[in-house]
Amino acid sequence: MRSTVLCVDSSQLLKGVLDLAVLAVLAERDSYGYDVVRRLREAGLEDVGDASVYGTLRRLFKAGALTSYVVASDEGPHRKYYGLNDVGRSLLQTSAKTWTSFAATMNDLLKEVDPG
Amino acid sequence: MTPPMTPHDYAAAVRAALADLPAGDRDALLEDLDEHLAEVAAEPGMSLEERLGSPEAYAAELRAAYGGRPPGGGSSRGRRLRERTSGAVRRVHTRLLVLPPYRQAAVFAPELRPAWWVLRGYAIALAVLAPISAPGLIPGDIPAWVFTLAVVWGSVWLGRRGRAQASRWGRVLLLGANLVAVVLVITAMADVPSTSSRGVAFDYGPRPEIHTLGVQVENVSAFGGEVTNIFPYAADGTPLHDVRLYDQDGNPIMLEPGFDQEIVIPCDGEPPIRNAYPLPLRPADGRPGRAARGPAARGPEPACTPATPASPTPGPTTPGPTGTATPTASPTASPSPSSE
Repeated sequence: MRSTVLCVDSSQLLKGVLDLAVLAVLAERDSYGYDVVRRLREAGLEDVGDASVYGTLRRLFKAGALTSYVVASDEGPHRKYYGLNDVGRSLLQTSAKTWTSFAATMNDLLKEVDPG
Repeated sequence: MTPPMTPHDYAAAVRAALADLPAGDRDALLEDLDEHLAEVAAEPGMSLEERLGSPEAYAAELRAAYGGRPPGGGSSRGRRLRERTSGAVRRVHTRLLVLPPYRQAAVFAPELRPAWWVLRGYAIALAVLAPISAPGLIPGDIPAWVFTLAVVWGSVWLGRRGRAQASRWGRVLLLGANLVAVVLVITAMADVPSTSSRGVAFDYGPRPEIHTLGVQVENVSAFGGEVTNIFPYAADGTPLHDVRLYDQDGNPIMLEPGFDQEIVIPCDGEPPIRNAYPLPLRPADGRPGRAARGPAARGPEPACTPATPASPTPGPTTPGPTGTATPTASPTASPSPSSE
């Protein structure tokens, strides 16, 4: 009998919290798609995929959590900026709460473990 | 792949890989992919493919992040129609989200679902009971209550079980039940005001009287019954006499005295002004027929009052000396607000 043992890797974890990460980045300031990718990577999420961020932005926008507006630029293409609206802000708030308690629980569980 | 793909080529390839998505979804997802890819390509160093992988892999990642369905899958006509309608509904929804009230409603609407389950069960139970019990918005007796509670319980159970677990026919049935319940609730709400209104109802049936064109105010209901007379008072509490009332068009406002009262008609034949309040009323003496009463109708034994001739023409006239439209002749018309 074979069973699968999953080794946790950060890209796996990221899937669950990418929405929260994107919302948090946008809460800081409005951004366009590629800027969100860059800022997430700068924050330490190096594995974040461009398409994942783009798809997440579009999904959050479709769900009514984001506003968007186009900013014309002389050099380079027009940029579509995204920002949080009330729905997005309340979504961020509840998700952040969930994450915080989840993270606290995990830290508690792992207290005795020495990551070496 | 010697010549590096332009953002446009890359976007076209991604689009092609997502061709199976419903058109509405795909357009919403890929709306500004070209601009986005151009931004990525503007970074110096690597080509788009080196940076992002193959367009197919990019499309798959996009699909996963957008919460899309796996590629392929049957696309029967019914399914496509359903996807198109749901896409249209979603677009309208997104557009309406611009309005703050709608946004707030969209946020708290899910919390109201349990309330809807209860209301749905209640409405359907009452509709089922309607033919066999007294009409009303609450169940009539204990068996009806038991039945209603059972249906509410079933409705909540169905709601909690969720759509996903229901079979296809179950879902159709549930949709039908929801629609029926919506119609029932709306009709019940529309019915309530008409059956239970006890407010003031003015019926301006223009009934020209014999002498004056005026408005007859009927059915002026107040607390406890019909208004048959009006007693005007000045601000300092002095009872006023011979106050002429007119509506917004200058028509005299007239009341029909109650069935047990009649207007006192002076001896000299001048009919009393019908819109001078308080009306000189006295108890009817039991003569049959309301039709006999009226400004021109003379009773066989009129209460003769030496009234000064009053002009029947409407309009502000200089009030005569005290006691012009004397209510003294009518014992019931003592100007007290507590009469009737």
